[in-house]
Amino acid sequence: MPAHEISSYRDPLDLLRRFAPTPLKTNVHLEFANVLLETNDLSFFPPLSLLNPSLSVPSSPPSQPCLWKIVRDVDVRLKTAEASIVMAGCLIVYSMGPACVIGADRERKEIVAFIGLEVDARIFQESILPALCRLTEFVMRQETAHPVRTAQVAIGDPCNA
Amino acid sequence: MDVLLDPSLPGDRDVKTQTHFRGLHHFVFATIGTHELFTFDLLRRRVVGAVSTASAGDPLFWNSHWLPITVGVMGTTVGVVPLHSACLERNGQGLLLAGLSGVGKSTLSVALARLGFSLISDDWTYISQEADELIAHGLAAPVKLLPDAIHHFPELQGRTPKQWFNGELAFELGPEEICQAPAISDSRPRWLMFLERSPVSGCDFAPCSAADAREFFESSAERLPDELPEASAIRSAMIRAVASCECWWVRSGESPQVTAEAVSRFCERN
Repeated sequence: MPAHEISSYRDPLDLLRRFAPTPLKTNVHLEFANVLLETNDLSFFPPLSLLNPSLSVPSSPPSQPCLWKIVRDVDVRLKTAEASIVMAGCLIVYSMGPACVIGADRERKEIVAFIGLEVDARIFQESILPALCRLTEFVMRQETAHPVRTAQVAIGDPCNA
Repeated sequence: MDVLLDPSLPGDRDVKTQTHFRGLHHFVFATIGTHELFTFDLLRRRVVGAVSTASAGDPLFWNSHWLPITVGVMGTTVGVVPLHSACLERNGQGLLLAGLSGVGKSTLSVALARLGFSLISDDWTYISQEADELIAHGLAAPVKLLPDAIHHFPELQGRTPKQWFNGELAFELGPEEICQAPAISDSRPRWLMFLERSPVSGCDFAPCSAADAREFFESSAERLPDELPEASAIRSAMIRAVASCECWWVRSGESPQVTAEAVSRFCERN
């Protein structure tokens, strides 16, 4: 995999980094979803190939893919903290502190994430990728998902999405 | 807004220096320390969060920090547009003070407040429209004065500036420390003044076109994502309405106090 340098993105009118470029794209096939990944960091790609092969071929590809937009946030140099989850309606947020914040929107079939610089491939593969997969299941399996009560929250537990 | 109180969350964090904001699409995320979290869903006008016992029971956390932040983030989606300007009022007439960061809006606001203007806001003013009437709102947030304000307000000596969300150091003053006039929370703006520093002494007032006023606010506004076309339209409409106020350039090479006296005289004459 070629090296890819991620440059720090700054725009005085985009303090939240909403418009950080994510030019790298690939498709990921999960059992329950086709995923379109958009990111600014190639280092997220190799762990995707390590997903359980049985999950790599969609049994019945959904008509609409799930979008994963993952931004490597080079300005965040903190390590990941204990995971927490906040759920409300069609929204679920998985956080491990500023180093990993993931938001999933069931209605829009989108998952967006900021991942800090100190999150290496092992942490991504062991902690974050499973969470992304479970969140994708939450997003895509609308008809089978459990009803989500407003502001249902689990803090400090493993991802149970 | 759904906020969960989780007693297990640690409360040993500094809100001003350990709050981290990021946004993608219609989401804005704010982490406070490593455990507290708010998510703003601008599409559905919904806020969800989880806070510690320390935050939940701290009026300063809500009144000075989190409610202003929430209005700032969500306001445009509900017809309340944040504008980077100060707002004061005298005799029922509002004055919006705009200008580039560091030009002296806050110091001039404090100087005007000491001349009898009511201070509504010194940094961010929230504009709404009710029955074709513009209303400028403040949130009673503390006034921020940059460290060099000590040259103009010697009474700041002995105080220690604090770090704010954007990393800058500033003195923090409560409105009650500044205002002679009773505090008010909103006003109908009549004047919009753009403050500029001048290398020459004196204080000049020159008409500013509505187009220039619009351009100033549009070009300095935070970019909004494509997912929020309605919010962008609301903001542009509100900016057009604000630009229909009496707009003036105020170019001053004087101290905040002298400039405030000139502004005060101008408002009395006009």
